[in-house]
Amino acid sequence: MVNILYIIITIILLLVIIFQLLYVRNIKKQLEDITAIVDDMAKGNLDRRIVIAENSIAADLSYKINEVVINSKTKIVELKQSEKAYRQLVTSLSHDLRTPLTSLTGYLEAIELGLVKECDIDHYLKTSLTKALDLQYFIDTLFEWLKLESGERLYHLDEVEIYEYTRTLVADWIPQLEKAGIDYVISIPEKRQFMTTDKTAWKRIFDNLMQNILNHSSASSLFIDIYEKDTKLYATVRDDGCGIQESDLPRIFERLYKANTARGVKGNGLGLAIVKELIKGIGGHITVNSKLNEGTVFFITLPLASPQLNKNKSS
Amino acid sequence: MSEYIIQTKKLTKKYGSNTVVNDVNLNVRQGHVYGLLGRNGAGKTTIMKMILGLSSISSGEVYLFGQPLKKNQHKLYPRIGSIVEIPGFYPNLTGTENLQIFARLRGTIKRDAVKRALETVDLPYNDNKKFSAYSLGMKQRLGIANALLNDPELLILDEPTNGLDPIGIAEIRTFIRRLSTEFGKTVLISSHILSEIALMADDIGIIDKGVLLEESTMAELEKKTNKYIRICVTSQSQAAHVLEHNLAISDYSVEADNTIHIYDTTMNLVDLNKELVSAGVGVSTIQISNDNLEEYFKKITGGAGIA
Repeated sequence: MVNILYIIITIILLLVIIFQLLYVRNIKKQLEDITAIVDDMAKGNLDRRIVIAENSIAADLSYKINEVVINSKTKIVELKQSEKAYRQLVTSLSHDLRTPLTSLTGYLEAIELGLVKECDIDHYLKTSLTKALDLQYFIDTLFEWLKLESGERLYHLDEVEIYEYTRTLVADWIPQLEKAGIDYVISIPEKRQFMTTDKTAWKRIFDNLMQNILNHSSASSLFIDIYEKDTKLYATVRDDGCGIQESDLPRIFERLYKANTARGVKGNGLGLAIVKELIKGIGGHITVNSKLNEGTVFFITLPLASPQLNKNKSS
Repeated sequence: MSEYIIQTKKLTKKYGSNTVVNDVNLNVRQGHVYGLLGRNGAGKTTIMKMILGLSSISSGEVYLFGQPLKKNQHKLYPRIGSIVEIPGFYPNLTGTENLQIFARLRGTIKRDAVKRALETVDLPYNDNKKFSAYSLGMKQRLGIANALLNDPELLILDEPTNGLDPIGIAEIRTFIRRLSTEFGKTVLISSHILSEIALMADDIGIIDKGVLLEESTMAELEKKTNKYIRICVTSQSQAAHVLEHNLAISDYSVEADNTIHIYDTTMNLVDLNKELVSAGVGVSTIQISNDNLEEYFKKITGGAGIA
């Protein structure tokens, strides 16, 4: 009787041991397979993935390894794209500099070679000056943008009497607006309102928005509306021009993005990118809305008091 | 890793005395899109099935990732995602449930693999719509989700644009190009739609009646397809006279719609234009054109073209 019991227990124990051994061997095999795949990953093949049953013991570990590799791969893909974008930037920039410079040189060479009639020299010189100034403006914009990009732009905060200051900024543009035949309705409160901000940044933002409207909107009317509420300053710049296509709308703040890619059209694609960075830098926010052939409106929010400075570039 | 992700050597499939795939030597480059071009019944699907182990190989060898397929299937197949013929799913289960079954059978690479795959092809996750109620486009997209489930290094897609509307086709095309250019994946696609393949593939293999007639890169193919100068003129007869008399060009053909094709492409377009205009021939179009892929295909298959 007792012997049979011993035999049964021994058999059960043996079975348990066998199953354990098989189980361990199975896990060892899985780990070997996984190691082979990780070896390949280590050799640089970031496209390998460990494929494993969800309920396996090694599942969590495998998934974590996959995650690490996928993240590395994604970073590399992003870097490659960034590199590509920078290469395009350099090509585009050299082109944008070379073209007006060539044109300018052409005009001046013509004068130097005596190819220009006396009566036309004046006109040629005026045109040359305009082109040189355009070039200067472009280079200024370029450096402004480069400084922003590299995080080197320092924001100098001041207590600015914002309404009065903006009025002077607008006044500077009135001659150009009138020359272009654009009606303007400016609504800036008469009272005194102080705001902690960077004067040059605000001027740049305003100037770039105005330049954009002059260059691209073919508008007949311009509406500027500024007011303050609670702790914020709100500004809307609206035109009744040709508007921006819906597909372009989310991209207009991208550097070097030009909705109108025709050559010879004024504009370098950096204006709005700079606006966006500057607004971010002084702690504000900008959105845009537009309807083709009806117009465009830029909506800006800025904090009145000491803004959260955002010097670090976040892509 | 070896340069070729897929290499077949003298791959052959016979059904009795009928040879449907005949000594095919396919070479699919790593990180590129390879388009297998051929009429219906040319053997494209059969080749893919043999590579994937869905059909037995009569003779020849298949190498994947630089390793022989034989005896290494369990290591190699997890690295491949595929759709061959009509995606086979359980009709009474939802899309999510179907993918979950495949996830359990094959294993996964992350916990929410099914959810991510469905997101990529824009299908709902955990909804109640059964597979039998799916439109053809949705079925195809589920098939693609299944192929992408484990983020494989190699994708084998049999007629991936089948059943998709024009927007869907354009989306798949962009997607496949991105897989290759951005993510470095290798894609083998088959199609009988020449224009689609021309837009998607880096390399092309032309197959007809089971034989791989030609394998080359898209760039080489473009060079081979005959280039010609295409001009639209006000008077074909006068233009022809100018070509022969003034320019000593005899290699040209008169086409319909006031068009003339000039096969001597060394001719300078500006000079050609000047010559014609000074002789009183009006020129409304002057450009360099290629035989498109379809013409070339007709030529080398010596047949009536695509079915």
